[in-house]
Amino acid sequence: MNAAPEIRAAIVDSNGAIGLAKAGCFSFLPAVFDVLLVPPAVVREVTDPISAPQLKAALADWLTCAASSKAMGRVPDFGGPADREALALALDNSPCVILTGDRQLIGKARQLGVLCVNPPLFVQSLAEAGLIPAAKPYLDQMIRRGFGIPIELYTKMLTALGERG
Amino acid sequence: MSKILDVQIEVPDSAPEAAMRFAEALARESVIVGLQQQGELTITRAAADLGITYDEYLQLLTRSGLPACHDEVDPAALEVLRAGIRRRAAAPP
Repeated sequence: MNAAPEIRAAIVDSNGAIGLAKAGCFSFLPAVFDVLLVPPAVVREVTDPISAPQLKAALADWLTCAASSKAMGRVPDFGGPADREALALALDNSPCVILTGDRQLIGKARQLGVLCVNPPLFVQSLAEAGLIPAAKPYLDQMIRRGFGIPIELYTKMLTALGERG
Repeated sequence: MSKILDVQIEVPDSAPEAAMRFAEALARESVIVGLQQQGELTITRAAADLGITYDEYLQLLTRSGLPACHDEVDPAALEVLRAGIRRRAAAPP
């Protein structure tokens, strides 16, 4: 069995911030990571009334807004400023993960050796560890608030957690 | 480098201009959402191409019954989360 990778830092992307905020799990990030960073363009991009206040509260406490200082030149020209800033910040702070479910960003990150964690997976890990009583209510809230999860992924996660009767 | 995706559909001569413009906007939206869902555009870029905010784009996906996140999960990511939770739980307050 492989040892679990020792990754202590995470970069928060708009997709990750909104997904976790809508699930009501954003405040659990410090229970998993020692260092949590968010690029300025992501802070500007998260504007919805559920996620923005949670992001603002986190910025006053455990989340640090940081711009990439070194790696922007290594990031391919794709997406928008928030995508490129998130990837560059991840390269600056390697090893770390990007919290995102954005398919293209995940692909670009993988090409550069950066691992991504999507919001439903984060919820699954919290439920598995007993930090939340069950994943289903949080995933259902995420969906209800307008952050859709692929049905296959939803089913697979609930099955893995024994939450499907 | 970029490519141009050109969708051409034959319509009757009698089709009114307003209906053509409406259909064209709908087709453009559909192409952008399709490319984003296939991982060819980020959500940020797709929203910008449609002239809407990130959250408005997520609302568009919801109305269309489409997910906001990719279904593929890297097993290593779950291991990172498990290890992080164990480490943080064991850390002194």
